[in-house]
Amino acid sequence: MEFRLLRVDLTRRKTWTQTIDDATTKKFIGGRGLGLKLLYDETNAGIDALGPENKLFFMTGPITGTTFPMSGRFHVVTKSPATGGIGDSNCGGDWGPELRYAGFDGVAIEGKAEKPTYLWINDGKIEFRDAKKLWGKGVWDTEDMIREELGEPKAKLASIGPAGENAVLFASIMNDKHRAAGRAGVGAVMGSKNLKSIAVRGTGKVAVAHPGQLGAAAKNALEKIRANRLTGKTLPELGTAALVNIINEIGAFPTRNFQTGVFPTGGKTSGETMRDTILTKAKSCWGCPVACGRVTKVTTAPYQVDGEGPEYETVWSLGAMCGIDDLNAITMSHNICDDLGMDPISLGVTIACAMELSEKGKIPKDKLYGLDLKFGNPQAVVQLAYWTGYRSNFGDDLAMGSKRLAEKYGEPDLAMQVKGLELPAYDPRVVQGHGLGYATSNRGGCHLRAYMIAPEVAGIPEKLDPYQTEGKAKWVKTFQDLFSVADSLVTCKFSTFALSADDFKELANPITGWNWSAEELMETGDRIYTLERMYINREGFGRKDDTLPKRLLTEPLPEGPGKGHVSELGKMLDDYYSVRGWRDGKPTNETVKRLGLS
Amino acid sequence: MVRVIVRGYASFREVLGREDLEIVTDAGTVRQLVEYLTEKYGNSFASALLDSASGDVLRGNKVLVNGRDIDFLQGLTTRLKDGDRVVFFPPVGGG
Repeated sequence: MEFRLLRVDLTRRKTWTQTIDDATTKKFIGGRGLGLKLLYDETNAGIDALGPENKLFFMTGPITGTTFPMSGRFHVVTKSPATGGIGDSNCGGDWGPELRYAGFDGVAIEGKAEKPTYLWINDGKIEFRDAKKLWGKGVWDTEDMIREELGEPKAKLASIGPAGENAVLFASIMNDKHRAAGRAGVGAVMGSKNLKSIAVRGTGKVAVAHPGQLGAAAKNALEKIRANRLTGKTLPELGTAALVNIINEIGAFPTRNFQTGVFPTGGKTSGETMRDTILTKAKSCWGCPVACGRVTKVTTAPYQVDGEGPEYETVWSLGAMCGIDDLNAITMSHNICDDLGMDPISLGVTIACAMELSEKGKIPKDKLYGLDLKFGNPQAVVQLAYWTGYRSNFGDDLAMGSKRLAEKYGEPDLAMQVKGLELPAYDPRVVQGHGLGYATSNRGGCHLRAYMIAPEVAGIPEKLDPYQTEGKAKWVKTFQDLFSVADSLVTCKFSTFALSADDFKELANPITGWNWSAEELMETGDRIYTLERMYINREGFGRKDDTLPKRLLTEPLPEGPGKGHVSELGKMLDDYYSVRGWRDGKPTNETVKRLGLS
Repeated sequence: MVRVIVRGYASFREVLGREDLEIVTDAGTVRQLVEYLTEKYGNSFASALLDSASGDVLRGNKVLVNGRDIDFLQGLTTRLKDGDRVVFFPPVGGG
């Protein structure tokens, strides 16, 4: 199966189509894997992520827009301005299938437009359009205005808000107003190119190699997803914030900048509470039977907002991480992130860092305009979200992210980040394997390279003791490889709660015509993960960066089920390198050769 | 007799309610506590929690005693002591 890539040179205002051959596409699948391959081959080490030499790839996969369940997502790949390493992010919504129906499998953006621009891709026809009236607008207005201007209410949009325009290092790219390519500052790269949005409308079809065989496999997969109690019941009923109570009960709910793992009033921000209060209805992305999305409305002053979310990560980052248990305030802050186009994980973790810095007397008061920057103040989070999106006042400091913020104010150890990307909502002093995942994630502090919460908390596909370190390395590799596949096919990673690599190949083979075994599919994941590691090695990352913040390695949890525990990363890291065929954080020559990467 | 705190989350709220329950019981193990709760709250609790064929905790459900999964303690024979906190979850996961 070939890959039709739309090439866009913003500097010269030129477009052309490139067809990537079947052999290359099979090696890297599409989505994250193929985008990575293109970025690796076409850019040099050391380029400025916010400069014109960086490239920004919007990638679907061979299954996008087909009856492979949960195939509505797309993947953005670029160099991260936050970390200086790989900056990629996965996004739900409805943009991916529309691009394929418009005749393209991906869009490669290079150069920089002279002035604010948006792209209009309309059934194979491409236009560069003036975005002057849109520049400065939030994402929600941007979508409405573009649809109106084009006279196309069914256009799907991938846009940035003011945060991306202002080079907030954790700016996101948004689709359908509330779905985000959230992490690693991909929105800042789009803003640096003066690109406001990519609007797409397509009425074509997606080609499938053997449609007759696909029907039965898709039906079988759909039944598994519906029958599975996580994808078929907990997620649709309670959303991802169903995790709040279980993570809090096991003492792994990072509270007040990871100072503890227990937040006594955290239940007020859970999926259960959301259902009892602000939830209007569930919502699904394109082609998804799960519907974990939340449509919500807050009517309580002063946090009234009509929007979507928050998800578990946001409920935590703008909640417990900042010592806040007010779901209404969290929901408002979250919607500010959606409209201004920012990653709430990085924003919340950066604010928490600032709160601890402030409580230690490190932040000059004149930057705060009287704002009471301390844990537990919900108004502070709402105000700081606005300031950050527009880089005003102290928001200009927050926009740098926690690593640079903490370094600036002389307390680098207070930044809860790995490789420059802020950590997510699980304390690795309890979930040890998940901590190994954080440390070895190529993207930086990320829970989605290896979602070890699945076995260590949910017991999927089997139960592991979170406190144990032995044997975790192999599991982390398996998850990293499987999720590399998921992100490259592009299917939602939640499908892995119900489907295995075997199920994936049963679905992918009739679509692509490739005759994968499950082992070959997993080896493809290994190849993608290893090339990703080679990319960050080239940017200077190595063993020294496969680590965790000092607090998590040396400060035992003070209370809760995890009391007395630290992350025992040191017991797992060498085993991980061995399992990977790496040495000191770098793939060996034999590994590179084995995977066909030399 | 022991005093234990019991809580059900997600779908277990439907059976056990939405708040912590303070239970005073002569149940010595988690299994005996489950039997006590079944008697008090009806068969819907047992059928939600247990595999009817094996009598073990249904795969995917989680029972924690003081934040530790009973699978890594002594399973349903895990002994209870005064002040223990026992919580019940169906499968939960996400992002």
